[in-house]
Amino acid sequence: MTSQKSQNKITLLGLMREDLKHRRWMLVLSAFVQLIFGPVATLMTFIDLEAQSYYYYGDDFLRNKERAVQYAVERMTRSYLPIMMAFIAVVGALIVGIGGYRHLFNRRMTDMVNSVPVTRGKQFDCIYYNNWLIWFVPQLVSTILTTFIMLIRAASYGWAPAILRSAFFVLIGSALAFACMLHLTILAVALSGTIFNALLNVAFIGFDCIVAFYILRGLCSVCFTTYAGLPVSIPDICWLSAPLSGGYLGAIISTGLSGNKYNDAIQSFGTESSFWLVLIATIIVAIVNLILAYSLYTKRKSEESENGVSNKPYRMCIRFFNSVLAGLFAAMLIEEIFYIDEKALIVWQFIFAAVFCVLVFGLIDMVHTRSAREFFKNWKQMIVIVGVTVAILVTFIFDLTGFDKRIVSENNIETALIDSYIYAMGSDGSGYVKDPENDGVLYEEYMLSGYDERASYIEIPAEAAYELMTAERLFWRYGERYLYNPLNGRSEILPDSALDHTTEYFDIIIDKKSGSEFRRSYQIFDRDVMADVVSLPGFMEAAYPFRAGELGYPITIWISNNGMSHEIQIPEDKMHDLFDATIEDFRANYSLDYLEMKNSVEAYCLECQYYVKSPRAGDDAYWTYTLNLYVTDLDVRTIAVLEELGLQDYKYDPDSLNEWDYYEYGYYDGY
Amino acid sequence: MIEIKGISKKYDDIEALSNVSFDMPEGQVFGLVGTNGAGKSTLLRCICGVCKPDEGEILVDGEPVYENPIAKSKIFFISDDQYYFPGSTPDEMMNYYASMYPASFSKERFGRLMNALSLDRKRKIQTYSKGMKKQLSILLGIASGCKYILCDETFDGLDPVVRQAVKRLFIHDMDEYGITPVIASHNLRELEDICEFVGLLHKGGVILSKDLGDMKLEIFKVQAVFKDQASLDTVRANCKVIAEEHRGSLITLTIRGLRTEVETVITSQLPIFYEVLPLTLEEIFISETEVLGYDFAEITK
Repeated sequence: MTSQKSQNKITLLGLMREDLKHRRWMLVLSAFVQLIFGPVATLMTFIDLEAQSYYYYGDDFLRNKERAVQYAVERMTRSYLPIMMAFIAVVGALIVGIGGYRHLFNRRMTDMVNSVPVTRGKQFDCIYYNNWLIWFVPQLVSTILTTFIMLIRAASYGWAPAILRSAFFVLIGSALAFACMLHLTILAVALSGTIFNALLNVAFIGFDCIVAFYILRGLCSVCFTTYAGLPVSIPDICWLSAPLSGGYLGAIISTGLSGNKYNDAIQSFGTESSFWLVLIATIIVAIVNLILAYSLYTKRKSEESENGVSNKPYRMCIRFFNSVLAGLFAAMLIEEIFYIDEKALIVWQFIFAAVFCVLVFGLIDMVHTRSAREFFKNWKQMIVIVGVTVAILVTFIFDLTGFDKRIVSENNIETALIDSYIYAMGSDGSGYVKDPENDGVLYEEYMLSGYDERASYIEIPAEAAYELMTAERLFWRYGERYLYNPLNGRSEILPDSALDHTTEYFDIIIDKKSGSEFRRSYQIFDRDVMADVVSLPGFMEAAYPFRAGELGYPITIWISNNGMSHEIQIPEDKMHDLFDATIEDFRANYSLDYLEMKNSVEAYCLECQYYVKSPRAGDDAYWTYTLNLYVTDLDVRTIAVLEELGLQDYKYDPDSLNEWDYYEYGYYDGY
Repeated sequence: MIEIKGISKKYDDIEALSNVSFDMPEGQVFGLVGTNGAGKSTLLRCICGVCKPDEGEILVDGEPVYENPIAKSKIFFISDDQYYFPGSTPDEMMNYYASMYPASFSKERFGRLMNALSLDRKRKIQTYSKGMKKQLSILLGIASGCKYILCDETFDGLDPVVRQAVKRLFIHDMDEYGITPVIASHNLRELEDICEFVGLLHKGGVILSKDLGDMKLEIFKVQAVFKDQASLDTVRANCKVIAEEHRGSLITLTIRGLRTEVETVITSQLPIFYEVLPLTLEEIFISETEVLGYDFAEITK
């Protein structure tokens, strides 16, 4: 018979070997995928780019080849490998995490595994280490081969240090992505009795916080008339989602953290220091997930297999949270798909929220218990959660928190920034900003979304900000337009006949002395206030920072006319003349009235395409941008150049514009 | 010895075992019999450490079994539907169990037994019949060299020849290696042939746990024809009658007690005819469970 001494012969390595025997397919799959998307793809990229090298420098073969190799190395190390390997790591972690602990989904297999003389802790460790081996060994081989291929092709051009550094960081970044997803998956598996429930739990635990964030954002934008964004960015909360944070951070780390185009991704965390905070938070979440998974696994009852989800506190949390989210989502969905009277819409929002809430609550109970009878089993909780959902909706829809009415007192304003929508020239209505790292080059805001969004805002004095917050403004409610006076808190319906002038939107960000941030978007009705703001000293220079000769390298010009665009090829020097004339006109005529003329349908659009150097650090490519110049009758210099070019016939005919043209070309901001 | 001390086990609201206590002496075949849903499989799963009892403890040779590899290395659990890895062959399962019971598993013996039962070691198990899979699970258990072999409905699905062979194998290994087979089954005739000790479960509790021989000495079936009703009443009054059946004047009584004492009471009433018959295990089971109300006599009414 066995003795204590003999029992000790079951080593962890022996167990791992035995486990691996039954998971050979995972190892083969991992190796196949990583070799195909690693060394094979790298080799193909080099061959492909080298074959096209004649595009670069004509007949200079050596220069062409060097350029091709440089492109290939940059493409592989800065974008392809970091993203692809992090993606493979995330998907691989999901597969090995579920496949490794598959015995938890089969009662017979659970009986077999738990009846043999091995502790549950040792079983967990053995499978966990094998999960890493299944991913890491092929990843290591793939990285070595990929690096070897790149070194052979590019070392002679001095790229060896960059390639080796990239290989190291790809391993580190992918490992982080793998760990985040693996630990989440194991936690989900330890809570589940079936594969379906495990996958659902991965989704619930992995994405619920992100979904909640989006729903909160959506509710704010649907319900609050002055909503202008939450003071957190999506990457800030990515660390709450293992699949997102793992893949996202993994890809960033894989690029080596600096000296490449992912710099802006790091900066999208706000500052580099917040990147490190998010990274540390993500690692802590991954470790906590692992500890929880281990604890749940070792304490798990065998009879939980094939049982859906047995952990009652977890079940309750999940059904509560997700049914509330579903209810709120339904309310938003109705807002998007129904075009009905607003009062009726609100009724339908409550009805749909309650129905979705009940449906998701019951469905989760059914899935967790694997029984259709359980749909209404927790009907009391169901009633409570419908009540909670309705209460949240009431809070948002009727603005019980006073979100729209809140203002910051003047003496509590530390700094105030505004973004004006009166006239913006970007291809999508966005404004232009100067790249702080490439002085003299202008970029459309959205192209620089990775940078600090405040770069597109203009600082104004506290008094001006207070004046904006307290100015009469418009908002819509129940299908009616209201005029609201923040100073006395009164609002009244404003008929069309009383709206005798245009209104404009202003976004405002205020850093309070108390430390928090205040963001709002106001549709200002008071024209004097608007005029005061646009005529603030330095406002024009900050809001419209372009100067003659600063708009990169023109390529071509499209003139939009009544929904049609006509491409006009004009000489480069004439393009510069056109830009310079437009800018001079702008500076000479600058006023609120002029900006609004530019913004109106009476202006006609010159859609100018031009090259600028890429704003991405380390990227010497040129990007094609579009600048929309709206020409009014006041722009005499511009018109003169256009006439010189024979383009004056392309003016808009406002009478022929339909409603869609207003939106598309006129930036009709609506009264 | 396996000591079961006051274990209880619930599956959600269903009480599978309720304060079960008894010992399983080693070196004997222990039969675990019980009504449907009595908790036999749950008890076996608790004994082998698959399930953790909610209350009480199970000791194997003095050591608690749950999460204790030393105690578990003495136990091999053959479930009623043994799991085999998908696409595996007997040899692969042999290797798996050999790595789990490295000190005691005998590959050589496994090979011999496979040959003896004419089972193909290279054939995929999924192509085996239900009976062949049962045979394989028993052979793996035997080859594991474990002291305690827990068999859950193991004889079901085996043909009579193999059943006899397995019984012989168990008896041989008890003599040779001192193993203790614990067999849970509904087939009481099969158990009666092989078991020396029996535990009787009903509704999660133990009705009795005794040496089968002793059990048979304490319960009898008496067929008798009495002269008058008064004689029968006297027998009823002085013996522990747990079941009674009348066929004309022939009365069949199931009586608990010592045979000599029962015979003394009956002969004192000068019956026209009487005969004391031993009860089969099945009759004992039916009698004991009927006393507890496990009776479906009403089904035909």
